[in-house]
Amino acid sequence: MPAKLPTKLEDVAEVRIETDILIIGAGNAGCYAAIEAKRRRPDLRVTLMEKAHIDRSGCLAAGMDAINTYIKKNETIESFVRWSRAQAGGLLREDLTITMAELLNQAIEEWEEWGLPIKKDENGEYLARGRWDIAIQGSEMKVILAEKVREYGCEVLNRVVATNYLLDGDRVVGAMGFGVRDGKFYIIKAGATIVATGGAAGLYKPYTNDGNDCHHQIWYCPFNVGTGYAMGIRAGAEMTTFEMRWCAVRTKDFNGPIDTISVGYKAPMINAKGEKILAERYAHMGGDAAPRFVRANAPMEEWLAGRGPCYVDTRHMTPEQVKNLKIDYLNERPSFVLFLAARGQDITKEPIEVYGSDPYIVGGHTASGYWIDVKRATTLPGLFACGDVAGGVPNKFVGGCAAEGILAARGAIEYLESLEDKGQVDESLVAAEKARVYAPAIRQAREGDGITPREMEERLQRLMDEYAGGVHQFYRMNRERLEYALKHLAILKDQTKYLIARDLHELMEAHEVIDRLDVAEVLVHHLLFREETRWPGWQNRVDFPERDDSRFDCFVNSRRDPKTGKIEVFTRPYEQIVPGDRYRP
Amino acid sequence: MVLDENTGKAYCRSARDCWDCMSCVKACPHGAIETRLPYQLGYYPAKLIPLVGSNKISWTVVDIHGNVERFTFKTRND
Repeated sequence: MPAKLPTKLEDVAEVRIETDILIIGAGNAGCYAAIEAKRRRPDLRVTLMEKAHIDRSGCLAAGMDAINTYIKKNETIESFVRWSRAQAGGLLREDLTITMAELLNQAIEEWEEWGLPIKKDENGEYLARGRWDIAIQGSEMKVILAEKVREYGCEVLNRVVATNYLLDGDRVVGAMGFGVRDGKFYIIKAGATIVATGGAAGLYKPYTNDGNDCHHQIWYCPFNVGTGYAMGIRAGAEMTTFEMRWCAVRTKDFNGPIDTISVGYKAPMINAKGEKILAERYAHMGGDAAPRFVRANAPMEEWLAGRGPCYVDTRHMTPEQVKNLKIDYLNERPSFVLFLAARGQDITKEPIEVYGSDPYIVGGHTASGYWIDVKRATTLPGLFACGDVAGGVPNKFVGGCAAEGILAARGAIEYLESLEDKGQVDESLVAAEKARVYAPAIRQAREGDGITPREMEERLQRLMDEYAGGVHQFYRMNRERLEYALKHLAILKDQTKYLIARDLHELMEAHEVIDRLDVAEVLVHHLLFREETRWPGWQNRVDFPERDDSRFDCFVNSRRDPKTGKIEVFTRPYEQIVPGDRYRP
Repeated sequence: MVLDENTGKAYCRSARDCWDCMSCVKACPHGAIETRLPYQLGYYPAKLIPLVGSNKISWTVVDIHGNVERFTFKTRND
């Protein structure tokens, strides 16, 4: 049974741990970082802090049916950079993309050795599903990875939620948090810290939200709430490219993958009139190979033009293909097969409907996150970032997040080896954080009245949906709406002092909404700053509908001043390494 | 999942927050967990039931008309 919620700060037990490398978040990237750290330096203590359970936490919890970035024999790192750059609307960190690409294949081949089944073609090569994609049977891939983490001797703290970094000046020397089952306050002092908490879901209202149980029929892992971003924002880390949001085309009503069908089984996207949308209306942008934001925006444009609903046309598929497609889904998203059964749908007679998702902030599909260097060091000394929380590299996907985990571990070890002292724990900061963490519990005990995390979460999601370009607004926004969003975000942030928590799980939810507010505020600042539309579908400024290379062919970055709370937004120049037209693959 | 102290049974405390990823359904050693889709999204009664082996899995799906399909595939290399 979970422990009781403390009602007084004095009742809160403390756990103090001293480790060499602390990894926050035991998803794909965090697990690879842990394994790499331990196999390079078996003598080091490596500790993972995970708010759920490592076996089924993070984006891979449910499984996967493909690896979307594997460099095949006829491709090169340069051709990968060119493709990824064009997919991202010409904007990515080439230095980071190159260093990641060097390790893409290693990570996947290791996974196969550890037990992940990868499909093969008649020549014994990995079965291709598209230019960079290979087909896998990844139902248990996260369990396989978690076993390996334990086998290498890493220490795993399951069900411990991170809330803030331990800081010595501006240097990160570990993190603090609380146990969602034991209720204890954790103070983990570390030589080097790696953040791998993923991106942020739940900033925006999903369209399935109707007061029933379908609130989280969303693309992204709903338990990734942007905590790693929020901790960095609060500590003054530089962030990049939040305005490049990720909105995905998914199966309508029930979130299922579309690439599985459209890439894997050559099913074209069609509108209500039966027209092949990408081939007929977006041929000039690459047709079916158009950048992902074009593909995300296309069905929504059709709806707006009165040509919805839209579908992926599965009516040409053979019975054997349908069976294989369902097996793909059972590997990645089994409940989609349940959904088809619950609709009584035969997809050879009735195509699968598609629609846009609510927007997310991620660094693995798009490029939102910490501004890092090639060693995956953030702008805060002692802190490294990998996976969805790290910025600058879109189209990482599963393999890239694993590769970045490896790089972050190498960076962290190098930093650790260069250290002259391990830094100090500032006890006044620890006491302040402890009071902040348990405040919603204390308020519940003392006042018994306030705002529940769910109430505040839904207020935030509605605000962002309507005023910061959510799916109900077809991703559109303008300056006035964004300024309205900022005004109300400020009110909500002030109202977090009224949050109440009635048990430890709700205390976690309270901090999740606090973290989302910090992420949302930075996001809106980024959306306001980029006065152009670079990625229609992901970022539609209706008051600046065109791309403006004269002002915005660069990265938009931000930093919150930890002393004043003021968010400064500024640009960083693009640095091209691989020659060629950045808008063409 | 959380344990109800009165009945001694576990239940999903936040059905609203469920991703319907079915990880818990696969992990339950007694096959005691079922994912049901919210009625807003899918009609009654459809079922999807896994049978988990050491390196393979079998799924049985029953649609709202009673049609049954079975799928078996490898989940780990031998």
